[in-house]
Amino acid sequence: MNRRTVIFLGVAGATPIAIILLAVALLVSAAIGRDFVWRQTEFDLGTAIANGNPLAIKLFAPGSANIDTPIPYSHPRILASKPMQLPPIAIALVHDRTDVVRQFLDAGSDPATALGNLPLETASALLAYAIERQAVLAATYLVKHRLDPHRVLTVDLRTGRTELIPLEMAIYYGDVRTVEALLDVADAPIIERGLMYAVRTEHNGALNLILDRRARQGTAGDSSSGESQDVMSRDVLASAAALAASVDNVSAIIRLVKHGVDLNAGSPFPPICRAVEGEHTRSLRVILENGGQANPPTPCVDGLSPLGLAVRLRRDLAILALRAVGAQ
Amino acid sequence: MKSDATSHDMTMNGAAEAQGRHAGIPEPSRYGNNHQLALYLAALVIFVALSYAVYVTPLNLNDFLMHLFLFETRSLYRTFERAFIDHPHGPEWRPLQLLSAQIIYQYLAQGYEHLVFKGMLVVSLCVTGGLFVRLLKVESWPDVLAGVIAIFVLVGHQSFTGAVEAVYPYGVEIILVACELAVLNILLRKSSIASELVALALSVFAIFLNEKGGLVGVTYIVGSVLRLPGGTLRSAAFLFAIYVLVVLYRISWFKTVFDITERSVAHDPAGALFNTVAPILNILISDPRYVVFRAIPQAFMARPWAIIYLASSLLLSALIVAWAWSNLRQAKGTYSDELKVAAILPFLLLGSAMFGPFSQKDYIAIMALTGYAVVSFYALKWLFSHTLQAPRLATYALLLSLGVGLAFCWSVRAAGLVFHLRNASFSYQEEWVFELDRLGKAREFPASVTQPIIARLQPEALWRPLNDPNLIFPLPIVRLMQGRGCPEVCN
Repeated sequence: MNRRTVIFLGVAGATPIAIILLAVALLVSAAIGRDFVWRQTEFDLGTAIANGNPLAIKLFAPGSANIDTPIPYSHPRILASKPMQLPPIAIALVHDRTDVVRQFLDAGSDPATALGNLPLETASALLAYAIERQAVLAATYLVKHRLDPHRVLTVDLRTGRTELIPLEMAIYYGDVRTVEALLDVADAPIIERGLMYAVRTEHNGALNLILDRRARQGTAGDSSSGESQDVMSRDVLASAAALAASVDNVSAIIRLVKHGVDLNAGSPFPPICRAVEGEHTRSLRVILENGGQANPPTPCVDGLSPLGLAVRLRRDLAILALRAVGAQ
Repeated sequence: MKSDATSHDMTMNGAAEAQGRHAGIPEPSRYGNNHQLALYLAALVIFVALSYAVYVTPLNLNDFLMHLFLFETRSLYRTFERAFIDHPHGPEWRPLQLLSAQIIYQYLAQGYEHLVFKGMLVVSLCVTGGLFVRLLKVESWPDVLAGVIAIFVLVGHQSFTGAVEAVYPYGVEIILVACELAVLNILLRKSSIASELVALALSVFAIFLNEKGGLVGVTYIVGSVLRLPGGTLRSAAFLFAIYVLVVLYRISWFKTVFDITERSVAHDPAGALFNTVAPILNILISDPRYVVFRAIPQAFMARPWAIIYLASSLLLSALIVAWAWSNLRQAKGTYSDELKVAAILPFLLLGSAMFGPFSQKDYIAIMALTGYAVVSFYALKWLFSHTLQAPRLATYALLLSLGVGLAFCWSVRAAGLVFHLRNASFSYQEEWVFELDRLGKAREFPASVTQPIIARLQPEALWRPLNDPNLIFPLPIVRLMQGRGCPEVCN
């Protein structure tokens, strides 16, 4: 080929070659399931609902008989892509498409029926995904209509696979709205468990929520019955303070004190003993500054005083701190 | 550039007849060169990609769904009776169209509608691509480029849209195009009894499938009269007789000549005349579209799509005229097969014009498009040859610019087809949700018939979460590609 031909082919052939390359790209992208023209990732109605496709949603017109009929759906983060049969509203719920959920509800969907028939394994997986994605409505509906709030979920966290109840999981992911929603449907044991989890994992935002709720409910009790009706026993709060001292969660100790926790009480040992045990001098100082006695009425293990415990365990920093306030 | 007097040529004098009319037909070996292979490969990529785009487009609702309802409520015999007998109303103009659709539905597609009907479309598309490329004989890389652009002319012209949209009822236009290309292939190869019979069969099948298919026979008759190697006067005369009978049989459908004019969309003579000319202009200059001049005024408003459509068509049509004129002047009584194929084009244009008064859609002239695309290949080959042999640099640059312009514009138009299909997918989905009653005629049939079909097809049509492509693609791309969407977006 001479130079003229090369220039000719290069210049005149540029756009046709580009179009052919685009055609190749289209085919390759389609072959690997990443169609850039059609933007399809999964070929199912469930995915269309999850994406909020208005046309797919309109399929379920008001009064249609199939509104709560399960349809096939799978998701890589839910049961590891295992095929499921989910009612349309469940798909919208776990993807937090509240607008779509509203349309399904308007169209006559009944969450109690739709979610109530889900297999436990599926419902648990949906709940775990919903809490992770902070889909508040989904979490609430699933706990309300299908799952016991005590249901233990096996979840993969950054710290490894672990077992948590829904409230603990919501606290872990730190979404205030989800925690509040789950507190609404929680009983006392659940709330206590959530409190301990929040203290242990230093999720102090959730701790505040739980304590504030306790305070509000206590006030409501005052106005209705005329006497204080503590929704969470003082022993529980004292245990939480002891736990906070053992993990050196200073903020939690301060917060608990503001809610009336007696730092000299505790079962079996008061918080100061836990602080000494862990040689948490910050917690020790906070306890002493907030009404905790260096020699509390309830002794530490084996009847030892906090100072005695510190000497036995050779907690030098704690010894210094306690002697500074005149401990014996 | 091959000389006019080389292998494809055929003399029309007695001496040539005495030597055997097909003495100049190329040997099969010349079909097997690397350039031809390259063109086949390019075509393979283009048509497979297009097939994919076609396949993932949902089945259309308008003109399709109601026929499925119809097939569920009407016996095959009744459809046959309506197609070919149906006294006193007379037979259908397209007797095989619904009959074939019902046979396919009842015996093959029921439960697998998308797979079967879209699959048929894909197969037809690939066959069309193969037959088209078979007509394009290339011997150099510039020829290959001309071939690729000719493919883009075929798929990039707005008339081709109807072939891939598969609107009524399952997409017969692409089958007609394949039939016409098959007949053109037959005309350009050595004649045999078998090829004559195949050409006759295809021509008769095409006219019974759809009235536009009559132009398949016109192609064969004109090609035979022009003495293209694959045609014979015997079979042309036979086919002509069959066509006369078919037309007479069909004309009985109209009580009087006035019935025909009444069926015209425009009732005034000027309007009817304009509608007649419109398909010809639509092929040659890409305007009018739906019997309204749209590209020309929008080109004056500097709309990119309109400039591309007008410029590409005007330049290409002018190039075809220049090529034909140049070849005619050099012919001196000996006409190449290429010129004879080009001579069929006016007949196809006139034939398409006959349908103009009755419908204004872009694809009315699709049968002329095939001829236009084939002839454009000859003209482009001629242009590229002259470009490379230009004695002066200025001439070379000028012709190169023309080639670049044509290549660019037709490439954009071809890519616009995929954009259009994407648009169609979105609007089809809308129809499947909002237009079941109006377009699908769902309320005109018993629920026991409609509901199972809708329950089967609707989720299939909606399973892809599609968005409006006009909102997804960058605005400059949209402005460049939107020329297909007449009359909705090109107003």
